[in-house]
Amino acid sequence: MLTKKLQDALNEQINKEFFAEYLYLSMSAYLESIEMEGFANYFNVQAQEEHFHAMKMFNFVHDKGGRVILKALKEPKSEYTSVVNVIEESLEHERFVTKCINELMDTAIKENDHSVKSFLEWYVDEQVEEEATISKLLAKLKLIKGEGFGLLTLDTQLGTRKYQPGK
Amino acid sequence: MLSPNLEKLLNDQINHEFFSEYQYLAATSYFESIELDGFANFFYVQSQEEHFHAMKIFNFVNEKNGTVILMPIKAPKNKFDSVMNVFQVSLEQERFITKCINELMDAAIKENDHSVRTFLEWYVNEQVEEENLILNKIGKLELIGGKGDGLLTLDREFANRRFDGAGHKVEV
Repeated sequence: MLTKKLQDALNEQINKEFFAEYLYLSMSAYLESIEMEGFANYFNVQAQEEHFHAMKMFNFVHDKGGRVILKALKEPKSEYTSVVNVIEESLEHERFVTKCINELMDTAIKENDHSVKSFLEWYVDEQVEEEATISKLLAKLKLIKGEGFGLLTLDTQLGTRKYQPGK
Repeated sequence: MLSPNLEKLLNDQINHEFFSEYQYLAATSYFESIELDGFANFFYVQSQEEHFHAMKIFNFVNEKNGTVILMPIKAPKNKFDSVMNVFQVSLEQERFITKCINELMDAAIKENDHSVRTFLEWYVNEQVEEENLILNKIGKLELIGGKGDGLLTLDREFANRRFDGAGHKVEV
């Protein structure tokens, strides 16, 4: 059994993970439109990961005998000014997700629900990785000033990223 | 190049397909809550297919140098009265999608855009299959009166359904 408070909070988080999927798809569409298909691929893989994060929680709520209620997804931002702009916004978004996961964990601890606590640990760790990956990418982009041959090299490199199931 | 009209209609269709994905996920959740995990799996596979349908259009618009603009996705129906009710809602949704695809095809023909026309043929055929699939399950549900042993048998059968990742259903 989940308390109503935890069930509501988990449902809210499912919505946020699906929104993240949708936001990354929107970024992928923008990157396609400026012919940066490696970066577009990178964000397509990001979107698949977010989908997995949402579904992992979706299944957990059911396993705990809770009920998932899917809510409307708001419109993701579709206009960006540059590749650097996309990466900066995605870092900001990951930091927001980290904050939400931390608040969820605070609630689980407060309500002393060990199963939710242990379930959320995976997300806590995952967020460290998510933020680090985007930060590194941003640093590289700044190194090459977000343009020219360096950008092309980075685009080619990101084109090889593949979704690994379970991430 | 896509005409602004076709680009807009294709973007609308991406939204409809993502909504379908979301509606089928809500159906999955309903079935999980009444402990019919085979039915839940059936609708989860449905949702994966709809995601594939949306992404196929997404990629096509990009290939045609159009711009994909993602729009808000409305909340799906989360509460259902019965197993049958879910299938009726699904049939309604599939018929709506068929209508949208037909209108898209009408627009492509009117604008004489052959690439959009041949692209949409896959969806025209897919919709015949989609509607038939749901109708077939409704027929079976009617046969067993939507309950009892028959429902359990169907639930077991539905547990084997898989999505192969390339737009094909695998009915085991």
